[in-house]
Amino acid sequence: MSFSTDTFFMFAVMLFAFCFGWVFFLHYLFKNYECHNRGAQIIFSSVFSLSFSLLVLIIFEILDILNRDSRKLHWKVNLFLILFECVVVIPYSIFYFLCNIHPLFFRYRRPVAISGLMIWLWIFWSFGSPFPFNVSGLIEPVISRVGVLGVTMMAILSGFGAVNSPYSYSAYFLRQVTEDDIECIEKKLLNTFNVIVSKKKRFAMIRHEAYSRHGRPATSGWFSSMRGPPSPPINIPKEEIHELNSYEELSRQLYLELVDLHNTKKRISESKTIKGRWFNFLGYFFSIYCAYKIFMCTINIIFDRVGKKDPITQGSEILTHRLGMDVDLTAFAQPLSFMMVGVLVLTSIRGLLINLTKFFYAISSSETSNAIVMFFAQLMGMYFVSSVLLMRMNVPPEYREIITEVLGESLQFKFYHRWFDIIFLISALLSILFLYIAHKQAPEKMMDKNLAQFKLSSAFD
Amino acid sequence: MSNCKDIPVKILVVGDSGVGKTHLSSILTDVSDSMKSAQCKWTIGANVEILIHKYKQGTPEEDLYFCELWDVSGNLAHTTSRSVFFNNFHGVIFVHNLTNRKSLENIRGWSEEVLDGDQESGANVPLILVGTRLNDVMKDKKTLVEERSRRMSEELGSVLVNLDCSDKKALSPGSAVKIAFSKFFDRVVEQTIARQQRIKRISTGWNTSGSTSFRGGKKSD
Repeated sequence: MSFSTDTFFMFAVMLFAFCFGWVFFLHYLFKNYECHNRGAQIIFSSVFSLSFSLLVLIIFEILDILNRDSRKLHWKVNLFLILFECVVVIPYSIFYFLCNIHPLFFRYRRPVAISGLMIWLWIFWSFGSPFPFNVSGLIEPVISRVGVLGVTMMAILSGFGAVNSPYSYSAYFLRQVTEDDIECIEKKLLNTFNVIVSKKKRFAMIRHEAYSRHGRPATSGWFSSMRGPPSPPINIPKEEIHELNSYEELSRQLYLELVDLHNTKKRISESKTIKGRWFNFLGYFFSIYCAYKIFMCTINIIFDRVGKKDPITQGSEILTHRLGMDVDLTAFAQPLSFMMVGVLVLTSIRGLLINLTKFFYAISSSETSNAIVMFFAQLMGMYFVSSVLLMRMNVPPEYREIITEVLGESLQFKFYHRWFDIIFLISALLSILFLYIAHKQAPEKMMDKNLAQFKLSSAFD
Repeated sequence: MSNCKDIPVKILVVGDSGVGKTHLSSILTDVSDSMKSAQCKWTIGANVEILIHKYKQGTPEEDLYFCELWDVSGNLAHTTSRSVFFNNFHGVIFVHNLTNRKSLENIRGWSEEVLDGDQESGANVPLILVGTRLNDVMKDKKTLVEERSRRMSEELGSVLVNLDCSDKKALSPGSAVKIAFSKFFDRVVEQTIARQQRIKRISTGWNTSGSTSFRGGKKSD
């Protein structure tokens, strides 16, 4: 295949990924917002398309599609573009969009964005000092730093995911929730609101009388917002206002408890379906896998070893030496690697997109949506660059060459794997602690609500 | 409390998250800053504000009524839990953001959720559609935006109000916005009184004919 057809083919792949990113942005992420700024959409789709083609290039490497030299060129160009976007373009646009929020910053958004970019670049450069990085060249130091950030992110997400998936899939941890529990909380909630409403009615009456005593015919009270004499002193004792605030806080807690109960009930009814039972089984499987991974990480760190062999060579060794079977898996290296890398690529893309969407719905509002989506684009870019870095371990030696060549010979790959293991372990242990506390806290919350209900009922007497 | 009728008048304020429902209800009821509880950016659950409304102002039947404005959280994850607030209401204020078209399109979903949830309250309840952030709409898009909200208000059968919540002059007495809101509150109070009288009639009807039917039931046993 000639160079021009290769380029055309790669370009087609990138265009496909760009359109996918565009559609994903419009119909999933920005489902509830109107997109005023096409720039954010273009940046997001371009980062997605570049990341996707990076991963596709690994697969092409294994299957030996396209000319070797043109592959190398595409690697380099792709890597350069994605690094440029992650380090320069996206931070600038994050600061730019953040300025849109506050009217004070809005007028100076260009200078603020540029100075923000400078600060970011300075921090980015200087945080590399404690790590074993090479300072020569341009691409290598940048990749090493991006690699550290991305690997940290991957390790934190994997650690949390490894612990969370058994917790959320298996039905063992589900609390039992009955209709009575839900009705009980609903009654408590409505009672609290009755108390709040009666208090507020009293306050409104006091305000109304204060206004009418001062001669102003206030009815629905738009008056104090107009310029005029200051509003008359309203004698509502501070303790009563504090009491009202605490009732409102109680109502919020009860509401969140109600939401939690509804969700648990939904999960219980889902767990009884066939899909639910399958998920439950998967939950047990994941818990074994999770325990295994944590164990292996600890061993790696204690015995200071970094796996040198990829799974295929290792698998073939195990089969030949330990189990006595005379199988040489390396003959099947190519299709096996392709399948494994393919599965890893697809699951990591899917997992990342789903998690990003969930977080996006939880955090964003109509003002900050652009800035947040840019932040996610940056996370996505760094994530995929580091997954290329780490995937080097998963491929047999003959395919590792080009990754090593492109990313830089002197890049300390062992360091990244060690770093991943450490952060994974820390993240997994912290998640176990966090989930344990959250799980234990739930029955305690019910006890607090019972106390509050007791206080409420005495307030009615 | 002596000169204000204490019939529960419940008005729901619903709309997407972040359109300005809490802000709207606080300026309608004019809660001064010292009374505002901890300012949450997003409402969790519901906030209730009380408004004292002069029903039939200027006529001999003028009376004061307490109107409860229930500003319910628009959070996407809380659909099942929200339904605990959607019963026994007497009016609905739908709020959308004029700069965000999706919030207007989601009003249809909101009207289904609120009005179909409680059949008894849902029928013939006065509705008002409020568009916020009028000042942020770009000049060239203004007519288009107003046309869209007008079509939605016709579809719902509601009154239409577009305002800018930070503009104090928009809510001064005698302005179109204030008159529209006053009329809406009047209709709500009217509905509430009518419903109360209907319930009274039904319950007195039960009291007179109830004893005979009970005896009738007993006889057949």
